[in-house]
Amino acid sequence: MKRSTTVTTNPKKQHSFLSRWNAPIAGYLFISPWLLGFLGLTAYPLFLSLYYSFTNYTLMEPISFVGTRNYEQIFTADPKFIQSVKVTFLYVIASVPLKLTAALLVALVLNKAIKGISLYRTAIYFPSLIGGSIAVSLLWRNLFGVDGIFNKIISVFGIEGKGWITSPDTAMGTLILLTVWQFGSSMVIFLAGLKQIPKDLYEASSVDGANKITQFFKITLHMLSPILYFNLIMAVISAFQMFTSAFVITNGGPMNSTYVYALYLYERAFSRYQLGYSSALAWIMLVMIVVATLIIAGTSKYWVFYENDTGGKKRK
Amino acid sequence: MFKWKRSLTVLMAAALVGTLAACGGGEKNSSSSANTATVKDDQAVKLRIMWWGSKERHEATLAALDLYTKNNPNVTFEPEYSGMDGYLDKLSTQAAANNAPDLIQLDPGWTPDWAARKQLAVLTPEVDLSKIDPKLLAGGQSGGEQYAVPLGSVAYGMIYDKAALEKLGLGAPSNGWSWDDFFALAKESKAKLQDGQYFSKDYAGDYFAYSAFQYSKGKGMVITSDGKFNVDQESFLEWTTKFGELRKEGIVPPADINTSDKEFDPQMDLMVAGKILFRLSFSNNFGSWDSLKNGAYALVTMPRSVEAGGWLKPSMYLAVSASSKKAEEAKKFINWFVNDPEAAQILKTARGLPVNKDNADALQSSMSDVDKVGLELLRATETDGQTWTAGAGGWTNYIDKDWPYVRDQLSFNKITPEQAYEQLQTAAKAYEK
Repeated sequence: MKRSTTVTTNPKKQHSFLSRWNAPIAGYLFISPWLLGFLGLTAYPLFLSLYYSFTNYTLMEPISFVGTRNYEQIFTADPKFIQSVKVTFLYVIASVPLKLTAALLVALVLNKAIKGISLYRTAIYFPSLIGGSIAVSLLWRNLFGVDGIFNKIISVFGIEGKGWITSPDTAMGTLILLTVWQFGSSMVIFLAGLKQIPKDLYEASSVDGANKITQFFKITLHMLSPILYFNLIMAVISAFQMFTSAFVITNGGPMNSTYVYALYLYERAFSRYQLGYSSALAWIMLVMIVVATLIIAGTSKYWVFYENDTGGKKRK
Repeated sequence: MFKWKRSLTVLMAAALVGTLAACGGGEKNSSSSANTATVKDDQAVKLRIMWWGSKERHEATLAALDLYTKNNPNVTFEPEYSGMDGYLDKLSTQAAANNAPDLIQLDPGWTPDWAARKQLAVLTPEVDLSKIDPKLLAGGQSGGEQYAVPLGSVAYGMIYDKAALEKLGLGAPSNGWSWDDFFALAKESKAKLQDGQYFSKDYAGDYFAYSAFQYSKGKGMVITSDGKFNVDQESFLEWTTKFGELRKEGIVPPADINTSDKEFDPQMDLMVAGKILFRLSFSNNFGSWDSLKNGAYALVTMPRSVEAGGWLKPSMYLAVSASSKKAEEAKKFINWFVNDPEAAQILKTARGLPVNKDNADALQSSMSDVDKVGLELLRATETDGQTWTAGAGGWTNYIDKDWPYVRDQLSFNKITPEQAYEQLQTAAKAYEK
């Protein structure tokens, strides 16, 4: 407003205004495909779902505003909400460290200069490309079913198997194992990070008499901490959103032991058509993810080391 | 050197935004009112049609679609077919995105919900209903309008592994047998069952099996037609306690095996895998099981008590989605699918005995032996079977999610029959009107 009045009163300023804006307009034009996609496909649905979460939106009936009723019901009178949150936290806490450990160990092995290493890297990365798919979930069901291959293998050693997927004590374990197996993308990032660590650090430390284990903890892990930080946050975010394998392999069962949050959200939205209610669930999940991310970010200054910082831990 | 800190911040922001987008529900303009079809007769139309079933039903339906295209070259089809597993999830998701197929097959249990939510188009006057039993039609009505037509009539009973019973030296049951006979045969089988073999599934927490038991006790439906929880406590405790005993004695499978069952799956169906002798079955499913193991199986009526346990019901319904832009052509197709004698000859009993009386009569004269087995169960159930009603709407999720949860807990011995009853009663409160 203010600017436009000055523009009309002073033609000279108008000129400078235009020239000041010319360059950014070109810039905005260049990023417009992304910008339009962001506004139309991300920002708009995002805020629409926030709006829906305060309504009784059901697709079939006209929308009416219900205030915070959905949220009140979720927090006070929804045992399935509490249960699915518990299951999801169990999954996040168990799967993320295991997955990152697996990814790091494999990255360390693949960081060696062996003949044909790129072939190994491709082969090991492969499960992650197909990991989230339905086909792999079906494969998992056959591997760990009552008559699955896993049971056949352990029966050779005289161990009697059971229905790993159909027992409430082990069903979540098999899903976690599937997640751990999909370590590939974290592994690739770790690998890139390992390449960044200067060789002379190892050389200098071995002169000082450090063994491999000390080198791993004092140099490798230390130098890799920003990557670890990044991978940790990415893994936590995707773990909270876990859906496909729980949906396909166990469908939340047995005894709701794998009834993760996204599955509950899906049930409310697409089996019961309570899109308002499930939008509220989605926003609660978002807040949970943000809080988890902030907690990790808050601890980062104690363990993440940046090379361009002078003081490491004691930076700032 | 690498600016990790800054690039990380950007990446994390991007990841978070992605999260938000995934959570957001998409925008749909809910134009649920039936679109006025403006398709001309000779204009090319492609109808999307979706159904569930076994291989036999897929083949018969595809052949019928081919014939329809031959007779009406302007109409082609885009069929989507699968097993029952996940069918409703897939269909519901498509419907929520306003992208449901033009023609959809619905279970009698879901039809009232779909009609009440106005997700279906009114089928009259395009579809001729004059030759169809009004009792079967009732399940597809809402507010006096016909939203879905029944496709077949089936009887609910049991299927058993005739060959295995003979091998074990157990007497085969006969039509009209009672639940006492059933449990007595189960106990008798204990000494004879081989390792890894069981009498029947663990039906303690099975909604449909228990419904049949409660019916036979003369206690009516589990959910009344006006939408009230009506599990008879005494019958429920008797039922679950009896199965609890069978479970303890190893006559029904342990929980992890019981839950792994997948009907009609050549490997995972417990009966086909030779692990159980008895399971529940609809009369029209006999062909599917027979094709997996030729000549091994036979049907028998649902065990009775003071009243009959089984009933006749419409197998499924066919409806036109309210969002269909080709509703006129879709309705024309339904009329042909249900009433045309040529169509009936192709479809046979893939969806039960045809609802059109003339077609049913014509079919019976040329029936295969396999189809006759199903028809026999139908006739045996017809005499004094329970009357099927469409039931109250809005309970699909209760039957699909709340019962299985109680079922699992029962079969894993985590709760007592009394606790199971209480849980079902409490869960029902969310659905009662």
